[in-house]
Amino acid sequence: MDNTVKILLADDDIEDRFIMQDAFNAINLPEVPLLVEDGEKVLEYLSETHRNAGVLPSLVVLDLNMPRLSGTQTLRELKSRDAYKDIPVIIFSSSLNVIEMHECKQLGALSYMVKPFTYEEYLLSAQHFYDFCLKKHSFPEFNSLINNFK
Amino acid sequence: MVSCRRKTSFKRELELKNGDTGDFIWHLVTVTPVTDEGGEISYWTGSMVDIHAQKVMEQTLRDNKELKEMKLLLEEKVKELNRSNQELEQFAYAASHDLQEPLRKIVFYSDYLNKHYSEQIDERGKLYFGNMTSASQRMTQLIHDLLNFSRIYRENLHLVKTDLNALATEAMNDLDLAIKAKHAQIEVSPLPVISVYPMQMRQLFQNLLSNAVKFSDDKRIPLVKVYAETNGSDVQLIFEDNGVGFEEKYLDKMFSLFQRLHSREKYAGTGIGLAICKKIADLHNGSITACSQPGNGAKFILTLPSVA
Repeated sequence: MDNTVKILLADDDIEDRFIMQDAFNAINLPEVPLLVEDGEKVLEYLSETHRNAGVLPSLVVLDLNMPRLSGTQTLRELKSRDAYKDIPVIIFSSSLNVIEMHECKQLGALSYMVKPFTYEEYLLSAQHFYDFCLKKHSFPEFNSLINNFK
Repeated sequence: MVSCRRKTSFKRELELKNGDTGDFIWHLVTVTPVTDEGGEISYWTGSMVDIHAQKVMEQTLRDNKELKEMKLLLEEKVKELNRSNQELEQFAYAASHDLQEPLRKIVFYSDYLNKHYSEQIDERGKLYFGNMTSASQRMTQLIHDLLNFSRIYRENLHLVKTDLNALATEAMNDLDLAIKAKHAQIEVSPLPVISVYPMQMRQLFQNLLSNAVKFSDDKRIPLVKVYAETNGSDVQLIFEDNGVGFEEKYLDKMFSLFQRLHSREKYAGTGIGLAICKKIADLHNGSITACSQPGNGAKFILTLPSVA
């Protein structure tokens, strides 16, 4: 069953993708992450999987600042399509920005995370993403994030 | 007069003095020669009409026009200033936002190297490593502070009638750890209820109280007094401590961005606290200043218009 868990992560930064893969390797889940470089690739992957009646990812993690299709644009696309709108989306941004947080909340993202500053935190994030897919972990809701920020 | 010599009619607006009042009154004076059959002037005929009201009106209209032009010019300048202000804010925001990204990498990689490879390098290498890590952390803090500083502006803020006693209590709760660690005593006299931007004013309270506790003198238990005074239509809030104080020649510097009066080893911090206080005071159309003597505590005075 564990083999079916896939997490689709989009980030235009090759170093961040490498670190993320490294983190999943370190917690012995090298097959779980699917790393793509922007929002268009997310939509391509999903439509191909959908067409082939494959298993859609349990979670989509989006960087915000990406060329071509940004995180928010991708989020909007995902939530506007019946086939994908139930896939939980987590925003994984390099900075805490309350305006962006409001926008992502409005667009239906599940949560908003600031990218980690340490390796240990990366390991923890990877584990949390995975545990969430197994329903063993829940992410803080937007309202509490926004309130904490204030 | 030219017209006399030329024997032509003459028409001019003149100010004529009123003998009774001494006022000068505008008149339209017209003089026309009447000639006989031979073309010689036999006499002059003329009139004087009081056109003062008309002249005053013309002048008023002219002044009005000038005022309007001045107003347009001023509006243009205000627009320009607002624009450059906004650009500065956007610049600070973008700079700090975009600077965070590469910095996060530096912090990440140095953390990674430190955890996984520090055993493979010698003592000097480890020392430098530690220095590098703390420098990058300091930069993270600076950028974080700069971001917070650039976020303080009036847009989307609303004045709220606020009980400053409640704000003081909240700020003290936030500083609970520091206050307990220093066994500091904070005495807040009854403060007024005035219109302020609550979040920002709370931050100002917190920064001033935090400084008062932080820059304490080891020789005595920190004691901080907060009280209000009215000065005409202004309200003054005074934060008085018995800490190390400062030399007043540094007064202006103290309220500038990232200015510090002490070494990092002695007191932590980026030097943003008072700059934020000043920005918040300005935001309320108020001002902030301080007085002190080294070793004798300091007094910070926030002056706010009673209707901010």
